[in-house]
Amino acid sequence: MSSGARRAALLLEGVTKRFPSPGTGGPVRTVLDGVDLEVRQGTCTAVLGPSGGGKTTLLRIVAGLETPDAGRIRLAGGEVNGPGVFVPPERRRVGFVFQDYALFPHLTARENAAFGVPGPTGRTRAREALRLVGLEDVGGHRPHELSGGEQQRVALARALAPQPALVLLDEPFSNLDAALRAGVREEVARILSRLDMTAVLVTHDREEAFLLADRVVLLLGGRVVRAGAPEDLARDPGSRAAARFLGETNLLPAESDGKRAVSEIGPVELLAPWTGGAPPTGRVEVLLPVDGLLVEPFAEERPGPSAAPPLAKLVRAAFHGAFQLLEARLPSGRILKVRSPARELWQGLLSPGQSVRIRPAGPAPAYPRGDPDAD
Amino acid sequence: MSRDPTIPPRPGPRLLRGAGLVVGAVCLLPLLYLAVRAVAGGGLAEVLLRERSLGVAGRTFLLAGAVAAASAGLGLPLAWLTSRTDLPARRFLTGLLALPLAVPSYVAGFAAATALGPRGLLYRLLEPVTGWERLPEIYGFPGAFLVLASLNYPYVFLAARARFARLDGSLPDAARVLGAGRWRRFSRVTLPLMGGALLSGSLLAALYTLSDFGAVSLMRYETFTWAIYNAYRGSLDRHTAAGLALLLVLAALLVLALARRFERAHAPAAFGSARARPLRPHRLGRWRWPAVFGCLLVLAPALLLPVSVCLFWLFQAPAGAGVGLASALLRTGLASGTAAAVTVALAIPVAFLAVRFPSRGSAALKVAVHIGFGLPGLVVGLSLVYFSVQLAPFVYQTLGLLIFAYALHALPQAVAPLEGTLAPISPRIDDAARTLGAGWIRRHLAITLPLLRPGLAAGAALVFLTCVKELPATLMLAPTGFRTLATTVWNAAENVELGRAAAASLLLLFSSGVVLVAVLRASGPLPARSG
Repeated sequence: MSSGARRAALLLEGVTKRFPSPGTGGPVRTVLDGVDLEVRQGTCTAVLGPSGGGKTTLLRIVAGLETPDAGRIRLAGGEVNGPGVFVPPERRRVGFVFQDYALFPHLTARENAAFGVPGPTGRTRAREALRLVGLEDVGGHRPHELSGGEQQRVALARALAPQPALVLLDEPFSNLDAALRAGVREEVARILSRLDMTAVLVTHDREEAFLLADRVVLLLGGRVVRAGAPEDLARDPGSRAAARFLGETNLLPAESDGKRAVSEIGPVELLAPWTGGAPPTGRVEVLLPVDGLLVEPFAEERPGPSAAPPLAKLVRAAFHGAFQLLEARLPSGRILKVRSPARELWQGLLSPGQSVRIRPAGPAPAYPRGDPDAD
Repeated sequence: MSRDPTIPPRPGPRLLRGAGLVVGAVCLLPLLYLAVRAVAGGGLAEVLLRERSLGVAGRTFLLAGAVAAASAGLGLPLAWLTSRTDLPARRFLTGLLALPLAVPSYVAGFAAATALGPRGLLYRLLEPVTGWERLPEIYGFPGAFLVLASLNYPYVFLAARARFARLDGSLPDAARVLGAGRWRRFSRVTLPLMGGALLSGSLLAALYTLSDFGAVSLMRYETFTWAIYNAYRGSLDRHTAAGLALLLVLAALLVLALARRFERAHAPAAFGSARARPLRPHRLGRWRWPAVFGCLLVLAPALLLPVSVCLFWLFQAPAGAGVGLASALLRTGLASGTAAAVTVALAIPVAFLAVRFPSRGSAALKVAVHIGFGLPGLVVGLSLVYFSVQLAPFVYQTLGLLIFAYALHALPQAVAPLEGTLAPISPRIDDAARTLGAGWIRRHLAITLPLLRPGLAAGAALVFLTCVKELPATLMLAPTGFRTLATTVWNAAENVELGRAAAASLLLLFSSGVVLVAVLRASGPLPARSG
């Protein structure tokens, strides 16, 4: 993972793409706004962003299926997009797994997999690729005879058979139903890591990005607003807008002195911003992930010290098996969401109406309030 | 097929757009030229001022309205019988009931005129028994109506069947639970949902009545088409012909536009659930066999009569009646086959632009192409005669011009199945082939062409079928001495060479029947009527 020595398999600098707004001839919409991205050899990067946020366009630009309006792209060291440079997709050696798979419906699975490798080697490579994805038995089947998960794996085999320098996956699991998705996802992750394949995956699903990628790039409003390891993003999304998109978190108003912020649930120790420097001071919002809060039932006979945070009342307690998803109302009326592990084989579960105390499990990031730039 | 909202519609490659522009211009040119001729030559004004024109228009609309009403009256019950009941041999009867579409109107007209005329075959059969002087007149409205209604009802029949097939079975059930009786369920639920199909089907029947030349000319009923032909033929009075033709085109395009409008109203996607529950078939009980007999009765004037009458005349035919038929068959095949290939080639850019690159330009192109549906073959022929005589005399009376006319006339029929084939193919397939290293030629040879083959084949078959039957444009444009089966039938019927007309008719029926069955097997769309 943290192999800083590995060289970049893909490098984007200032990639910009504008489209005329729907209702042709209308004003121009900037879909990608100076995107910088570096993908190291043998790693998996997830580009995470809302639907319609330009993620697919980014992948299509990398594959050469769209041309950027500005910016440079280097693939395996060679420039493929730049001033006066354009390498067409058929000469980029990039594998692409399309969202709808785009399998050739008139060709068998084996013929699909062999399409990218002309000549007699094609058959061998196709067989290897299908074996890799565990589908050597259905090589003679046409796409419509395969299940959704099998089609997905044929698409992967087809992309991998020409031994590309890089494989791009466009929302690869979104067309699978939930029951199938988890299994196929793990299978794909296993195959990619076994081949030490460099991969870029785009998704709008936070869980998918965190699960599959070594590095997650958050694309909001056509810009990369945050990049880092999944756990870094979970701890500090970087801005209120990013936190809201990622979800599973609470933003609570607080007053910061640069080290600690005082909020409704008491003092919160502040984390240094990921961009460096000191935490903001003054009116801020602290980010409290649903997993980053500790909840204790309040016991009458054990009054806390005067500095103890005020009480909250549970309004909801949803049982999820491994945890309870709680909603607690603070004295101000604000609702905090907390994911509370179900301990001791579901003894001592919390229930609505109960009074609880809530405190942060560790230091939290804070973002300035009312700063339009951070939003 | 999910479309990334960040990838907007785009105008398409320049080569494709250029091809589309050429095809669109070619489609509109004859019509515009006709309009200019009719207005500038004074033909339109002259026609509008003549008292006789009123009679022609009145007869045309009377006939079209009567045929539309009869088509609805026949088509809806037949559709209900074949799709909602336990009628015996439903599949077979369905195919049989669609078959009149393959019968040229001049063949049915010839058969009806010689069999049901005042002293026709029927008279000869009945005369010894009844001693009647003569049968009632068949020429004029009754004959034209009988022939065209019996040939055109399948437009309503097939449209209504398609609607019945998609009708969600839980809708009538919902009405039933809400306390609606049998009649109320039909009148308040089923019929309104069928309304669009019924109207658009009837309007199509009216459209093909407006543009029919074969039946009305043989039945001596002066509607627009026959009046135009006579004006053109008799006096070389081209201004009058152009004026009448422009009026006819305007009427036909109006009917076509209305038909398209109603086709979309209450389109099947707009009602019922995605997983429609199939309807329980109604039990006909003791009405089963009478219903079968009713279906066969409808088929009598369109199928039974032409085949039996033609066979009768064939056996009575003098020696030499079949001279030249083999070469007529060959010429028909040659002209129609070439036209099918040309038309399908022209349809490719239209379908690609419409499906892959939707924009205002491609929408306009579609309209330009679909105007061809509303252009009677006679008008296409007439405008191309004018056009070639005035501006391109070197193509006048060449086979090329005839094939061009066929292509113009039949282009919409080649576009529709191609669009149908193209639409479900993911546009990413071409992208996938590119990322796998395939160049332009390999992509189109290995991917695009094989995928489009069913649509290309269905389109070519439909065009071929239309051209084989086409009569008026062929009469006007075919090189001197170039007789097709269609013109042979018509000329022989006009000259009362009954055996020759019968032989050519049977040859024509047989060959187009074979093609139609092939098309229906591939479950293609409706073929257009011509002749």
